[in-house]
Amino acid sequence: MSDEIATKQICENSVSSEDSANQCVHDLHERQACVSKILEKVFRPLEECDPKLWRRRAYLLLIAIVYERMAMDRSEISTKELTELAKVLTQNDGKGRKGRSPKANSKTRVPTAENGAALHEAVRELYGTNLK
Amino acid sequence: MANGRDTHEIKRIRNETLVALKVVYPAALQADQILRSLLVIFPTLEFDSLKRDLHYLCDKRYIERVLLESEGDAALTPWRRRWFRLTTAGMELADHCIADPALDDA
Repeated sequence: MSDEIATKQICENSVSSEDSANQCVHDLHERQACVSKILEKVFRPLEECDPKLWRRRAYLLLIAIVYERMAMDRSEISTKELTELAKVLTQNDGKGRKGRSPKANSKTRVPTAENGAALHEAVRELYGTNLK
Repeated sequence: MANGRDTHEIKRIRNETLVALKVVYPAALQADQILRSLLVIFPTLEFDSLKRDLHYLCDKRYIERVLLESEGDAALTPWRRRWFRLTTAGMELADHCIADPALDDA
């Protein structure tokens, strides 16, 4: 509940005029699009490998927390950073696919450390350091 | 008009709910997380109001509740803690593959 009150206060302050309200909507949509790409690149193989995960609490919490932090916490991660991360992940995925056999893109693909490596690589390219 | 909200706003809130769920599809979000996401653009939105919209979207089969193994009695889970995900119809609507005049935002 306190999170909700805090969010309301921040939003009421930022959505003070119609222009800033429109900007707010635009910014949220931009962030959501980036988060969608990032979730797709990092978690998609996991979803494909086991639809039962949709009902698993830990999996749902993980995705929801990632969504919440990335889509809404503008002070922690700027929209520009998110956009760049999504872009780099998409580019890396394209590079990776060129060298892979067609089988690697099939629905039965099992998640490996490859996805984590892609994220590490993206972060390294963006910030010049790794996640550790 | 319902609960002081005009038709345009009701449609926008329902559409934004679908958009938020589309981001995590095929995973789900808790009602409380959906509310916080919507507060970014609808700062005066109340939870009871969103609850009605979630009911509505469930009745229209655009979203569905995800029941966890840990939920012994689904009816006892507080609303804010309930998980919802897009259905295939909801995904099609969010992707504008199908149209629903009740949700189309002119």
